[in-house]
Amino acid sequence: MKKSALIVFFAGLFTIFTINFSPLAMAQGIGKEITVGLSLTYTGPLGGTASSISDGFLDHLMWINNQGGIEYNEPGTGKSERVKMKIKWEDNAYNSSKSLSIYKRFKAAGAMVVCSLGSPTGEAISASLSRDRVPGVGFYAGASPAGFRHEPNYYSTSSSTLTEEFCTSVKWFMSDWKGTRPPKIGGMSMDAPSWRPMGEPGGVKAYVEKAGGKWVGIEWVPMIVTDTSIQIKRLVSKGVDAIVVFGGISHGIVIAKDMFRLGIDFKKVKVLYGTPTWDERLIDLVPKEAEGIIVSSPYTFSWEDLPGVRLAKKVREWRGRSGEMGSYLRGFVFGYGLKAALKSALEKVGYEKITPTDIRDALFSLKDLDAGGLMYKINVREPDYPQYCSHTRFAIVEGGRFKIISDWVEMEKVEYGRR
Amino acid sequence: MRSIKGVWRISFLVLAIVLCMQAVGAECKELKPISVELESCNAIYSSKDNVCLVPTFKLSNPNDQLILATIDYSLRFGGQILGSAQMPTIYLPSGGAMDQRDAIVLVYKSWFARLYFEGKSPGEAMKILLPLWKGLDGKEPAKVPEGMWSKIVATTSKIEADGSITLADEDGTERIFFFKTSVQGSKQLN
Repeated sequence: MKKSALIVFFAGLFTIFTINFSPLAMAQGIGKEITVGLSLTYTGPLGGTASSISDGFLDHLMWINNQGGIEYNEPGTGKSERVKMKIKWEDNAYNSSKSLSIYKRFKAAGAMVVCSLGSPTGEAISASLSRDRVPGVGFYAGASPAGFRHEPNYYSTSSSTLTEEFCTSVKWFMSDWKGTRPPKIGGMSMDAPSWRPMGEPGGVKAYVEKAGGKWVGIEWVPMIVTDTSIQIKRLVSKGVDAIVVFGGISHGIVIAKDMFRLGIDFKKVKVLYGTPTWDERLIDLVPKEAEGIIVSSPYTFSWEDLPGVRLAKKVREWRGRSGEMGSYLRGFVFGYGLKAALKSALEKVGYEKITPTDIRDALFSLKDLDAGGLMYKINVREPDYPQYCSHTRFAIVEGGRFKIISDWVEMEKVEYGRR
Repeated sequence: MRSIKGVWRISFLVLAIVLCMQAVGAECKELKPISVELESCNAIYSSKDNVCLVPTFKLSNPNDQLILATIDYSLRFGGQILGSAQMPTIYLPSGGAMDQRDAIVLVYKSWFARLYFEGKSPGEAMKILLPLWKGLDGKEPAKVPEGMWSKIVATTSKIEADGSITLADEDGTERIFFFKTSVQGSKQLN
């Protein structure tokens, strides 16, 4: 009897050693973790702008972990608990095929949510997300039929469709129009296949005409362009009053230079840059040419005194980074959204029972979430068409600075071009 | 009978010591950052379109315990990001050192496009890119005006790496550290 007691005792002692000191125990992690996959962009054509956005998001999540993780109340016990994010990330190089292979590795690693920078990279994995029932957050990504056509939908984006953002700019311009005749409105856009619906009759044209304006057409600009004089002259010859521009920052720069050289008077012709066309570097890169350009900005500026900006600066300093702050904030803001969604899902079902679908449901029902003031609010207005930026503001470049000239304007909902 | 009692006593003593060690350990163990050194960053393949770099990091663990380390890094050359990655998690033995390698493929066209989308004109982009490309052992790219390549002076600055190290010890306690390291230029191996 005593011998068997001894055997049991030593077996217990062995177990204590094994549990506490084995590499397996270390690998499994004693604390609670949720695996999060981040498909970031550091290289490739958009690496310049996107690397700061990627840094912002990654640093925010690392900061949350460094502060002890996400605090939540376990539903069964009511006790306050903490969960860390096991962050797996890779550089997608803004490349769709790379994005797909990264997704497969994240899936194999047990990622319960995947966040992907960019529209084409997110669209490329949206079918897989639906198939595997893994929620995806496309940040710095626009909504499009390619991303949202799969059922059941597990994909969400930071921005609305480009058609909706274009129409929001038109709405704001029309509200500011003082003329006695219907204003003539046109557009210039980078010629990307997924951006083409903007130019179709049911898209922006229908909206402009319904809003009481006159549509003069959209000029498509190649991906790599050194001169846009012909496109600008064509629009001006039609007597255009407002031009809404969509492209990369390179397009924003070339168009600003060409308009300046051609002597376009921005007081007579309003030029409105959509979100992807600019960032805060615009005023450094083309200071005199950018004077008078209006930008649409769903994100706040780095010079605004807001809790989110202060925290982002603190985190960036902790991480030892420097560089463009405006873009950094465009990634940093989504750390708030992911944290809130994970907390909400954990509080609903608890750590042991949480599934990717619970996280999706929490993401798709984020409402009026204060993201440190870095955007109006994180607000999913339609769970079956989940986008996180519900409002934008307009600012004008004046005296070498961005001056905010509007309140938050709600993004238009335009069915055309959504599915 | 006496010997069994003796074994019991010794066993309880061992157990008490183990438990005390754990408690004291939890109080005293402060994870020290591991040292990360970019030992080399060589091109193992280069052509007019691509260069494949293999950064090799030497990791040393000054802690007197086995740790789990996850390292991510960005490589920079002449102020430009060459690539960023998170490497697989590894075990580092107490007081030990080991090498961890990765591979980064640079694509000329993609790099050119990145500079363009950052707002550089094609001419400006080429002016920045060609010396860097040559400095990384890249071959003469297509569409470079005749005679220009031979006049390009290769950038010889150091390749810099910075990144973060997430360490976990046997308690599952995690700590995050940051590092910066550099190595002189690339050397063609093939």
